[in-house]
Amino acid sequence: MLNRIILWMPQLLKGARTTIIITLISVSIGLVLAVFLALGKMSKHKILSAPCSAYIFFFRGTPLLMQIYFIYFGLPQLSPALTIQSAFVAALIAYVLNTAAYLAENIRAGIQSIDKGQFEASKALGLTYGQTMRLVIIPQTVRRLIPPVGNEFIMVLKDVSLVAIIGLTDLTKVTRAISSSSATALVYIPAMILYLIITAFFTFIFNKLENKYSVYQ
Amino acid sequence: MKKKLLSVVLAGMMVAATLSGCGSNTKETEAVTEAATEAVTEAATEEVTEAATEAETEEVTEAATEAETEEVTEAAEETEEETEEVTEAAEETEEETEAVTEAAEETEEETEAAETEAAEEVTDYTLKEGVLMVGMEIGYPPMEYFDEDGATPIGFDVEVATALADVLGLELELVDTAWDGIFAGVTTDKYDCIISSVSYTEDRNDTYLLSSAYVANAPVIVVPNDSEIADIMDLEGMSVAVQMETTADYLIQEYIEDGLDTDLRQYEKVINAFDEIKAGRVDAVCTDSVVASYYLGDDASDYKTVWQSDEKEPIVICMKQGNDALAEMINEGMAELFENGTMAELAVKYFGTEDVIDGLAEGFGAE
Repeated sequence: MLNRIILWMPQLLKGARTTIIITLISVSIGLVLAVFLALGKMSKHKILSAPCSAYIFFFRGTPLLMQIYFIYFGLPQLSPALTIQSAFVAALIAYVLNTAAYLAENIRAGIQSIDKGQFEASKALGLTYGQTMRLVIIPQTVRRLIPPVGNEFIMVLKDVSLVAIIGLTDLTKVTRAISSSSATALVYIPAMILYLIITAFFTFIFNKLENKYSVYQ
Repeated sequence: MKKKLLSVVLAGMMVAATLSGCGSNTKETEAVTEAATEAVTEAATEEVTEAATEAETEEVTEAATEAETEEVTEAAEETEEETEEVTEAAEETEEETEAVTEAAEETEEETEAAETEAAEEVTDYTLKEGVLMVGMEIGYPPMEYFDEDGATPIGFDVEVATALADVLGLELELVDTAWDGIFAGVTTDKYDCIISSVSYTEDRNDTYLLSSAYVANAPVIVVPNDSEIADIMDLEGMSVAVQMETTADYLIQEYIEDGLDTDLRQYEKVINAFDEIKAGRVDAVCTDSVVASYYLGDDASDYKTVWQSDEKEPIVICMKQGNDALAEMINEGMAELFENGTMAELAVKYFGTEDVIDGLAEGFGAE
C-alpha cells in the first residue's frame, strides 16, 4: 500500500503544482482587478458603476464550470478569431474574471466598513479622492480583507479542479486518472492529504499576514 | 424591569389571542352544526332513495329471471336431441383426441417449466426484478447520444440495448454515467451491464466479464484534410486529442512510453476532442472508427481518417466478473438478435453496411 502511494506521488505532485500555480496567478491578478471593480461600483458616476455592477452580476451569477467551458470551447464557435490556443491561458482568464467578481464585493464591503470620519478627515486635509483611497483608505482595508481574500484563495484552490474539462491536468484530474487506471479509489487518500497540506500552508501564511497587519489594532 | 414588561406584553398577547379565538370558535360551531344537520338530512334522503331503487330492481330481476328460465328450458330440450347425434360421432374421434391432448399437455408442461425457469433466472440475475439496467455514456455519437431535444437517448447501442431487453422480456433502464466512472459502476452494482462502445482489451477481460463482440471497431487517427500526417508515428512532435480513459487514450500512452514524443491532450467527452481539431488547437484526434465515421460524415470535406490500428478492438458488453447467469441470458438474447436480422438492420442503419457485424454472430452461438 505504502509503496503504491510512493509510486503515485510524482504524478500527484505534478498535478498539485499545476493547481497551485493557477490558484496563485488567478487570485493575485484577480485581486488587482477586483480593487478597480469595487471602486467603479461605488462610483457616483453611472457610466462607471453600471458596467462594474453588470460585470459582477454576470460572473457571480453563472457557474464557473460554464465560464471555463464557454471561454475555451464556446468562443471559437462564435468566431474563429476568438480561439484561445492555450488551455492554460484560457483557464487563467476564466479564473481571474471569476475571482475578481467575488473579491470586488469583499473589497467594497471592506472599504465601506472604514469609518466615515476617515473620508471627512482626508477631505479636511485637502486630499483628492484618489489620494484618499491610495494613502488612507486602502491601507486600512487591507487588514480587514485578509480573512475574505484568504477564504477566496482556498476556495479557488479547490475550484481549480474544474480545469479537467479543458484538458489540463490538475491534482484532482491526476487522482481520477490514477484511480481509473489502477481500479482503486485508495489514491484519493494521499490526494486529499495533499490538498490539506496545501490549504494548511496557505492558511498559515494568511494568519501571519493578519498578525502583521494587526499591529496597530 | 424589562423582563417584567416583556412578560406582561406576552401575557396580553396570549389573552388577546385566546379571546379572538373563542369568538370565532362560537361562530365556527354554529356553522359546523348547520353543516352537520345538512349532511345528516342528505344522508337520510340518500338512504330512502337507495331503498326505493333496490326494491324496484328486485322486482324487475325476478320477472326477467322467470322469462329467461322458460326460454332456456325450451332451448335445452332442442339441443338434447342434437347432442345425441353428435355424441356418436364424437366417440369415434375421442380416442384420437385423447392421444393428441396427452401429447399437447406434455409439451405445455415443458414450455411452462422452461418459461418459469427462464423468468426466474432472469429476474434472479438482474439487480431489479424484471428490469435490465444498462450503464451508458450518452454522449458518443453514433453509438449513444442525445437527440436534438437533449433528453431522448438515440444511437446504435441504445437500439441494441432496447432490442436485447425486449427479447429477454425485461424493461430497459438506461443509466447515463460519465465514462471515467462507468466501470466502477458495474462492479458496485449500479447497473447490470455496460453497453457503451466498450472496446475489448485484455486488461478489461481480466477484470470484468465481457460478452462476445457485437460490432467491429479499431482505433483510428483523424486529421485535417491538408495534414501531412499519414501514420501514427507521424504524430512525433505533434499534438493529439483523445477522450480520456478510452482505448485510444491508452494506445497513445503506450506509444509515448515506447518513445513517441507527442503532446497528448485528454478530454472528458469525445466531442471536445473534435472541437479541438476544428479550432486548430491539436493536430490529430485518435478515437474509435465508429465515432470517426460519424463525425467525418458531417465534415467529409475537411477531415480524413489516415491510420487504423492493426489490433482490432471489437465492441463488447461488459458485466461484473462472475455474473455468469446474466452473461448466459445476454448471450442468448444477442444470438436471437443476430438470427432474426435485428443486428443486420441496425448495422445498415448506422454504418451503411453489414461489414461491421460480419462473422460476429458465431460468437454468440447464432448462425
